[in-house]
Amino acid sequence: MGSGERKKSDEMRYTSSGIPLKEFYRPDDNGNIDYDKERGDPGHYPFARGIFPAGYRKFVWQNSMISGYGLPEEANQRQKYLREKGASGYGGQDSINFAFDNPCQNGYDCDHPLSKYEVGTGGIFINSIDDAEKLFDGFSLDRLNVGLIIDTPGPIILAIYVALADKLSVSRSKLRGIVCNSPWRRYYTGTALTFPPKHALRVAADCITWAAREVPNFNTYSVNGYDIREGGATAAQEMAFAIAPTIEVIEACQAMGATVDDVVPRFNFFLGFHNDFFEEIAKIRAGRKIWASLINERFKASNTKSSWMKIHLQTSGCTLTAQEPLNNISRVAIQALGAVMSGVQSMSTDSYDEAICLPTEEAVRVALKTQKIIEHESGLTNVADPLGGSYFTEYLTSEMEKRIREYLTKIEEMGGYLTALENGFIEQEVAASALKYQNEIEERKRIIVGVNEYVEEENVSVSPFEYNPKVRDVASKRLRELRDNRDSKKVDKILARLKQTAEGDGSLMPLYIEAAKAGATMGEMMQVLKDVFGVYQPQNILAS
Amino acid sequence: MKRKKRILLAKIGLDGHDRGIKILAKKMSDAGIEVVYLGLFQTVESVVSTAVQEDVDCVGISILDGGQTLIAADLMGELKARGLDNMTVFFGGIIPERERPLLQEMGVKEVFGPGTPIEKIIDAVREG
Repeated sequence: MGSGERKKSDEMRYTSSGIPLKEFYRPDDNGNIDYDKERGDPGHYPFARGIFPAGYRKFVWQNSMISGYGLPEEANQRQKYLREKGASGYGGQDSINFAFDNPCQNGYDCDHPLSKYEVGTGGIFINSIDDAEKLFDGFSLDRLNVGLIIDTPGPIILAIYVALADKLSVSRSKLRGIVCNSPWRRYYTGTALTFPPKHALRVAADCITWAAREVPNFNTYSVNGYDIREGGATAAQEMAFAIAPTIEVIEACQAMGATVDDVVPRFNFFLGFHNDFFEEIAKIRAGRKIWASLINERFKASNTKSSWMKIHLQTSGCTLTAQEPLNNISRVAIQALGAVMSGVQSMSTDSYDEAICLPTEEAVRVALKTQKIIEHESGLTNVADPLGGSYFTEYLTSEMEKRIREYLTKIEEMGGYLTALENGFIEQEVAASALKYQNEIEERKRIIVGVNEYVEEENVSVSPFEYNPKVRDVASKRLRELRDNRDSKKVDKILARLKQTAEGDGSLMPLYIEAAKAGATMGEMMQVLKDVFGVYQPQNILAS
Repeated sequence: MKRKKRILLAKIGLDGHDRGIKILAKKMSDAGIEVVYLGLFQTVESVVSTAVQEDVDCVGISILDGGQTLIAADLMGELKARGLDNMTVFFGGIIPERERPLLQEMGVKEVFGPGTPIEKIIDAVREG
């Protein structure tokens, strides 16, 4: 198949999510835009052009390279390697971003029978304060920005982190980072076990409101569009399905006595950047504006920081191909370039071998250096929102805003995000988009280089990452030793109090911390919550 | 008349990535294959019991997070224990090429990686 079959130029063109496109754009395509009201300078409401007036001059985005595998000490080595290669956070702090393995995401310790296949294979695990101590060895917690990418057990993981800080005499107010802590993300694609909605919301809001008082510089809610996007959502769906659930989360925090300004400045967005360059930039510019207006108009925030859509962005894992893996370096570079032109605060670039295995050291170094090349060699850190004012960018930003708002209105009319989840709307929409995308590839309406066009006869593969096969055995042995050496009566008493509190309506966070200090494990605490709250059954909805 | 092929599709373990397998379930069913879609969080036991109950011709397991060799060992063992030695088993997902011969040695008929044309998978099911 060659270029001879290329499409005719008079054919209608669309963005990746289906927005029709003209051949070029002119000033009158944006005739109605009131600059001050609908865009604003960078650093000014409604923040379409970015949240900081100086763009990247003061703070370059943080290199938050996602990683995690194996035993805590192995994951620790990978993070030290990244630090050595230049990964850094705001103000020269260290920056770590940990993915968690499936057992941990589901609330099971390493030695649970259901953990059998996946301990340390797709992320790290933290079962106990001892694991946390090994994981963060060599990093000063008061100079660290840590990402804990975990949802339902997230509050317990944060509690273990705080317990470790207490043990090391690090002031809680110096702790920085994020725990994802979404009660919703795990109801759709990328699912893990969670509680029924009402209880899931309570557990998350308890963590957010407690942290606002106790660890005030730690972010405790990730407004997550990335996972649902990777599951198949379009750009507009990604942004809408990220923003919509925060309404219920904020209201739950308010019901616990917090104000919007107490909690929302500690929310952080987690978004993806896919292949359609301008559509992704438009998504981010439109999203910032919609967020600012939602927080201001609906929730009447008075702290400007509440209106900031702070963004951690990851390039798109699902756009990477197993065919000719080195081609992925180009894909990631283009996506990362677009992310920087959108004005994000933090970024994780994917490694070229991720459609094959966990990243090798070499692949992750190339991914990190891609960010460094953009930072130092492209000149893009000098001027904020460099595409602002482009006829096309502004047009697409308005179009994207319209589409995101349409979804938000639809969800609102259904009765809110929870209803839209429970009646299957969200999952159905994502399944339909995923199917459409796949059909376009099958029908060659969408060309993926090396997959359905320019295909190589022989696949040029790479040397894959190798797992340490002993992880589960070693981890289980450590758990046995922990359980043998702790004061079991004390642990049982605290877990009984945790159960009582869960049955009532008190704060759970202090009890997780107390339990962690006494040597209770994440899995044991999660089991208490599962016994009290029950477990939500995933829906398995297919496209119709 | 020849009966329609029946396949059981599932994810075993705790891996929640189901974009691929959901698309496969839909496309296979559109192509006239009878699909028993078990979805997420299945165990080797739940898959094999359902395979027996539903009298399927083949089993398709999707994997993203690295559990493939352990899962294959348990699954093939359980199939054998239940007298289903001849069941056709397919694996698909993020599985390094280097591990594919090992999986095939264990009895997995074919392993489909990312970017495999769906038509190719459907053909394999029809033949299997």
